[in-house]
Amino acid sequence: MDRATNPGELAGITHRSVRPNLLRRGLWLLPLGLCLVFMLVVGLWAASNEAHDRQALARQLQADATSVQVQMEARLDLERARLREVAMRLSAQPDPASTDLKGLPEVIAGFDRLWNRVVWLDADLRVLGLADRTVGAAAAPSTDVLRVQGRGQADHLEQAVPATAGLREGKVLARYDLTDLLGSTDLAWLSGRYEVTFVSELGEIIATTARADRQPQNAPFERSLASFRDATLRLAPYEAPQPWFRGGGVIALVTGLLGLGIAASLLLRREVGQVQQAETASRTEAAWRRSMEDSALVGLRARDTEGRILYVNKTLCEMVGYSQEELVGLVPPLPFWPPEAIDALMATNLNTLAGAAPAAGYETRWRHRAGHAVDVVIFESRLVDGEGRHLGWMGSIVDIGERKRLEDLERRHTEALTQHARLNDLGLIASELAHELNQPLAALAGYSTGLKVALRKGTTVDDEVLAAVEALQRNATNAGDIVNWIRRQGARAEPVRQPCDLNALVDEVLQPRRRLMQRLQATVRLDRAEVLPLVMADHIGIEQVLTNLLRNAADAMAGRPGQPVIDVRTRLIASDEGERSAVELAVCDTGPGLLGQSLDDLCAAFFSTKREGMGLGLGICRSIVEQHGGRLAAADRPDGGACISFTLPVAVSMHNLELA
Amino acid sequence: MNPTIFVVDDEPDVRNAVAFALRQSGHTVRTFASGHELLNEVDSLLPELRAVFVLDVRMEPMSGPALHDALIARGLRERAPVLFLSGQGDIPLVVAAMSKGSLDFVEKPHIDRLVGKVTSALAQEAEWFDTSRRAAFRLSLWVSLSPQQKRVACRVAQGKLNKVIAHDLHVGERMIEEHRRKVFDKLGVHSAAGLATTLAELRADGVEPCDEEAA
Repeated sequence: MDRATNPGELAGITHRSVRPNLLRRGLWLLPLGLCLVFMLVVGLWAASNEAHDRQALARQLQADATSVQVQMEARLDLERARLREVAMRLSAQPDPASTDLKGLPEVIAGFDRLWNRVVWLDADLRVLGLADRTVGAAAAPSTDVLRVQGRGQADHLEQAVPATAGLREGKVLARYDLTDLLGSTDLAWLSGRYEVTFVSELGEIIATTARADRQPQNAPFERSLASFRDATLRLAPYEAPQPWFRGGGVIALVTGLLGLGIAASLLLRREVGQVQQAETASRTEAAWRRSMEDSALVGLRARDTEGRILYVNKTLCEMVGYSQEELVGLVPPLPFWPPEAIDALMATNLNTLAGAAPAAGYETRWRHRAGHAVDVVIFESRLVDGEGRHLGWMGSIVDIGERKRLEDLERRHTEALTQHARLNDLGLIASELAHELNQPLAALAGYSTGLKVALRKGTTVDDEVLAAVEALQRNATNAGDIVNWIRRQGARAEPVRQPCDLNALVDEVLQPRRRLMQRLQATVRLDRAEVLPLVMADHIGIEQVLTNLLRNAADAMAGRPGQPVIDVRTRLIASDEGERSAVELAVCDTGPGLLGQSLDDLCAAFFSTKREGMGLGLGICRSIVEQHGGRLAAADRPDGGACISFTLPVAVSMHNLELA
Repeated sequence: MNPTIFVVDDEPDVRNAVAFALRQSGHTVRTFASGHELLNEVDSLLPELRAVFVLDVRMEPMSGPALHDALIARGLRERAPVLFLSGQGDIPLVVAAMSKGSLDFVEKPHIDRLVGKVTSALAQEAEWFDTSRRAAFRLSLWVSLSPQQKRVACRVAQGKLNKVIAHDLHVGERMIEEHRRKVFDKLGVHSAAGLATTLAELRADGVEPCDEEAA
């Protein structure tokens, strides 16, 4: 129930909300990362491929070189064999001088193939015969195919001519041009791939297939040939394997891929950001709503259309003392219903489910698990889902026990204040009335002292003594009246009301012998209604009110120029429809007026600035008048000065009499 | 002539009750409803007035203490005793009045105590009257002396010898002896010390016997 008892939930929230954030924050980089990895793999593959190519090429080169070597060796072996045939023929010639070397079919064939010159030498290296190829007769047949450039450096084949009868062993030499050899050899396939060159020992190019429009792209490969003493075969491949990064396509592809990767990443990032924002907002909202529901003073309860509890918030749980788990899923009658009221509550419940619950809520009493009563007001409203389907009822439950207690407290507080104010007023009254009471008591003491002396002297009873006894009696009665009035005020008892003529009361108060009149120092003008119905009044209270109004009026005019005049007026206010007639008494002065003060201001406690004990506040006057069912009013006079008036309702019997 | 009790209270019942009690006790009583009425009467009677005043504290418009002040202003402070009738809460006013010289007070409603206090006040009045009468007699004797006799009397009272006085006043010593004898006779004293006492009493009465003329 309590937050503190469920720390796992909190921890779970923290865990869920922090860890995935890290993952999600990096998620958008995934496409870019994959892209880079892919590029790396492609790069590695290309690099290894290139290395492989280079190796293959090198092997090819070796193989080709070997192949050329073998081919040329084979060609030279063939030429040697032809030369041996020539040697055999020559050895069969009986006379070297008559021998037409040029006419020998083998020699002619040799010229046709390759040879440039054939020389026959004897053992002493004297030339026995010499034949040259006629220019143009033996054009190298392959030169058309393979354009070989060369300086025409020649090499020769040598063949011993076996000794014959007439001759010692000689030799025959066949010269040939290396250029021709190169051109005649079937190297067309080779020259497409390599620049083939014979290089002398001195580094001079003897023959080459080099062409102006094609440059070899790779380091040349050289091999010395056994058949040629001073020449080296050099192969320079035209094609070299391209470094992987040189390929424009690959670069474009990779760049494009990278671009796509970045774009994908950025898109993903934006998407993830939005999702995260939405999630954060939703989580915040959920937490907010939850804390709102839990911290609300209003209990919430959702029920389906059959009354099954779907949800309760924490406040409600606390209200009734059951946990959320215990309450959710329950159907009426619910465990917090007081057993004695289950029937009534079931009826109310059916009423609610039928949709007839009052919109202004209804009060009911539940019982807390601990047994005490819980006074609540329930407001039911329709629970509708997003598509407008009626799911059930949402009830807001307010615990009004607190409110009731507060109201009770407030009422008692007000009562105490009222009582206090009353005691305050009473204190003011007491101060004044103590003085009032002292007068008859002092008189009583004085008369009785005199009587005692007189009795002790044995004086005869004369008029003076009799008058004293009467005065004694009158003063005792006065004192008693005042004491009773105070007692009633103090006890908050209803004042004793008697039929009372307000005119007579005014006359009594305004009697010249009264001390009040001697104090007032003002002329009093009396304007009485000739006939006034009686009012039910507590005449001491009303006398006090009138006395006080007169004093206020006199005080208001004190120190102002001119003779102070107080107007006292009584009149009958005719009844309106349905209201009782009233008698009004107004006391008006010629002082400064109300000076914008309302009656409430004037009646405020201790508003009076007068000397202590010299009159009641207007507040107590108002309360006395209102106790009588009358009203006190204050108004400015049109020609300056203030009028304080009060009304007293006419006694019912008199009222009826008048109506009749 | 017996003194009169002057009762002032604006409440008729109290006034009348007090008067009744005091009359029954044998006193001469006059009542007044306000201070102004009383002062009018007092002014007309002043030279021969012998009175005790009973004043209510709370009166409008002239209060008891204010009336007391007016009586003091007429020189009645140590001549006519004043008693106050005080209500509740009047004690500060009464204390102030007593510091100015009023004799006593009675708290309402205990008027019965007033009779006894009036008796005391009358005794006080009698004493004051006696004192004032003797003082007046002393003064009349002193006034009857001639200027030269006053001069001699003042010097004798200071303890000066006859011949010193004679030298001061440029007269013969025998003349001084003559004056001294007459002064003693007129003032009824028998020694220089008695003379000095009489002069001190005159000073206490407010008369300076040895003024410039006498010095």
